[in-house]
Amino acid sequence: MKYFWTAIGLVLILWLSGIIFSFGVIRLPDFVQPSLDATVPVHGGQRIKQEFISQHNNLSSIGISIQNRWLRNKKDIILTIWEGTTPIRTVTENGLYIQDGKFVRFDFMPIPDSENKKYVLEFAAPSATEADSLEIFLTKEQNFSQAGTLLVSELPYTEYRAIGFTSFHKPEAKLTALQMILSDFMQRLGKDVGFIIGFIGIIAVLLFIGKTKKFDKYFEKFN
Amino acid sequence: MMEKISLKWIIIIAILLRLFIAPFFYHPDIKTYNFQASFLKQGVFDIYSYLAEHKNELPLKEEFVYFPITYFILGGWQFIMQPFFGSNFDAWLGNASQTFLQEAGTYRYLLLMKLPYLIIDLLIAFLLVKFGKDAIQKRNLLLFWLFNPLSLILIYIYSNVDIYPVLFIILSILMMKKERLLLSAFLLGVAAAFKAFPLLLLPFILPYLKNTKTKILYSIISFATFLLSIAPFLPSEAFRNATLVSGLTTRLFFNNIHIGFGEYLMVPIILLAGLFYWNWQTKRLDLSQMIAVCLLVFLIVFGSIHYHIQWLLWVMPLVALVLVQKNKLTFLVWSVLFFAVLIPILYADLAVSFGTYSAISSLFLLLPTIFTMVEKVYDPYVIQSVLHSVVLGGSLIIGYEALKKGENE
Repeated sequence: MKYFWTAIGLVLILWLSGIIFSFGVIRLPDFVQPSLDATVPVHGGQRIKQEFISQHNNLSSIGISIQNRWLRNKKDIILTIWEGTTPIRTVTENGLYIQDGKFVRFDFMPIPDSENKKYVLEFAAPSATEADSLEIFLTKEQNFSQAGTLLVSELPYTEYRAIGFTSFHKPEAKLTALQMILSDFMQRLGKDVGFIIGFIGIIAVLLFIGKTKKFDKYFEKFN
Repeated sequence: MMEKISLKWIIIIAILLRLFIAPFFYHPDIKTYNFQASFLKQGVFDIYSYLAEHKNELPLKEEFVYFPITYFILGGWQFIMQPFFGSNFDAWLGNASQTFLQEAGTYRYLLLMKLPYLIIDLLIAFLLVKFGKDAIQKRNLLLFWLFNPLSLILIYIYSNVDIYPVLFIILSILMMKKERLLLSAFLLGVAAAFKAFPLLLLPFILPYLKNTKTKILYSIISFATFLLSIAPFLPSEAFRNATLVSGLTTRLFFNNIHIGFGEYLMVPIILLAGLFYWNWQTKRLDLSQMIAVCLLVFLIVFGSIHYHIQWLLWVMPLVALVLVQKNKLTFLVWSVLFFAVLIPILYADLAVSFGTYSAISSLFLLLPTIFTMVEKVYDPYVIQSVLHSVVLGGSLIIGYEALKKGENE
C-alpha cells in the first residue's frame, strides 16, 4: 500500500515541483537565439562590438554561443555594455569553464530602465592570442531586428548579420515566470491536437476497461 | 485497502500514472539514440561506420555507444510506428538547436518513444509475479514493481535503453528457477547483447549451477549468444571504438590505490573478487541467495564507480525479489537507493535535474544546476564523495543481511 500512495504522491510532487522551481527562474529571455552560422575569433586587440536595442526593462544577461576549439582557451573573455560612451556593466568569464560550442550567459546587475534603449555589447579577450582564441558565433538571419551594426576591430562586418546572441531581463513580478511557463506549456500542448485527443482517448479506454468485465481474464495473468 | 482494489484497477492506475510522466518529462539521451536509430529506416545497417563517416554533416555528432541489437530494436520500433510518429519526426530528431522542444509533436514523440518501455515495464511486472511463492508475495511483487517511485523516474523520465537488458536478466533468472538452464544462459547472452553489464553476473551465477559441465555449457552459451550478436560488426573499427571501451568497463579500473612500481589495487575489482571467492566457496546457493549476490554485484559497482542515474534500474527488479523475502531490509535498501539517486543529481549536469522539465517549458533550462547551487555553500564533490562512500558501505551491509540464511522478518 505504501508504494501505491508513494507513486501517486510522486506524480503529484513532480508536477507541483515545477511550480516551485518556476520561482527560481529569475531571468527571462527576450527572444530566441538566432541561427548560428559562422564564428569570429576574439583575442588580443580584436574586439567584437554589437549594437542592439533592449526589449524590456531590467536587462540582466546577455547570452552567446562560444567555440573553444580543443578546449584550448583558459583565458578571460570580457563583456562590456556601453550606453553611448559610458561603460555601464562589465562581466568576465573564463575559457576554462567554456566547453566547445557552449551557450554562455553573462549575468550582471539589472539595468532598470533599459526598455527600448540602444546599447553596444563589446566582447574582448586581451590576454588571448590567435592560437588560443575563443570564437563567437554569428548569425546570418536577416530578420534579426533586435540587432544593429556589427563591428569587428572597429570595422563594420557585413558578411554576417550579427552576433548570435539573446538577452534576458529580470521580471518585475515574481509570478511572471510561472505565467510564462504555464503559457508555454499550454501553447505546446495546443500545437498537437492529435496528441490531446489520443491522450484523452487512451485514458477513456483505460477507464472503460476498468469498468467493464470483458477484459478481466487478461489481467488475471498477473496473478 | 489494497486488498479491496482489484488487480485490474491496480494495473490501470499504474498505466495512468505512467501516462502523466512519459510525454512531459525529457532527458536528452532518448532523442540522441533515437536520432541515431532513425537511420535504419534509410537502410543503414552499420550505424557505427555511418556516423563516423558522416560526422561533419550530421547535426548530432555523438557515437552510437550501444550494441547493434539496440539499434535494430529502436529503429524497428520507429519503422513500425511511422504512421503515428508522422512525417516531421525525423526532422525533430535531427534538430540540434534549443528550439526543438517547442515544436508541435514533442509530447506525442516522447510518449511514442517511451511506449516500448511501458510494454516492457508491464512485462517485467508479469515476470516478477512468477517468483512469488503465494498470493501475498505475488501481490507484493506486483505492487512494488508497479508503484515504486524510483522505477517510475528511471524509466519514464531518464528513459535509457537499460530496461531491455533488465527484462532479459529477469527472464534468465526465471528460466533458472524453472531449471531450464540452457535457455537461461541464452537469455543472459541476449541481455548482454543490448549492454555488456549483464555479463558481470555470469561468474556469480555459475556457483548456483550443479556441476562443472553445466557451468561450462552455461558460460559458453551466454558468451556465444553475446558474441554472435556483435560478430558482424567486430571488423568495424568505428564499432569497436564506440562500444567495446564502454563507460562501465573503463570506470571499473579508475577507482584504485597506488601500491608502487606501476601497480594499483582496484577497489571494485577487490570487492567483486572477494564476493566471487566467497560465492564459489559457499555450498550450493539457493535461488534467492543467488539473486541477492547479483544485487550485491551491481550495488558494489554503483558504490565504487562514477555511474549514470539510468544504471540504477539494473537493481530494481532484484531489489523487489530480495525485499519480498527479507522485508526487514526495506529501510536499509531504500536509504541506500535514496543516496544513490542523490549522487547523479548533484552532478554538474542540468539534464539530470531541472532540465527534465524542459519539455514543459524551456525556461527551466535557465535554472542553475544543483551542483552550482550547492557550490555556493559547500564543495559538492565532497558531498558526492561522502554519499558515494555511504552507498558502498550500505551496499555491503545489504549484501551481508540479504545473504544471511533465515526467515523473512
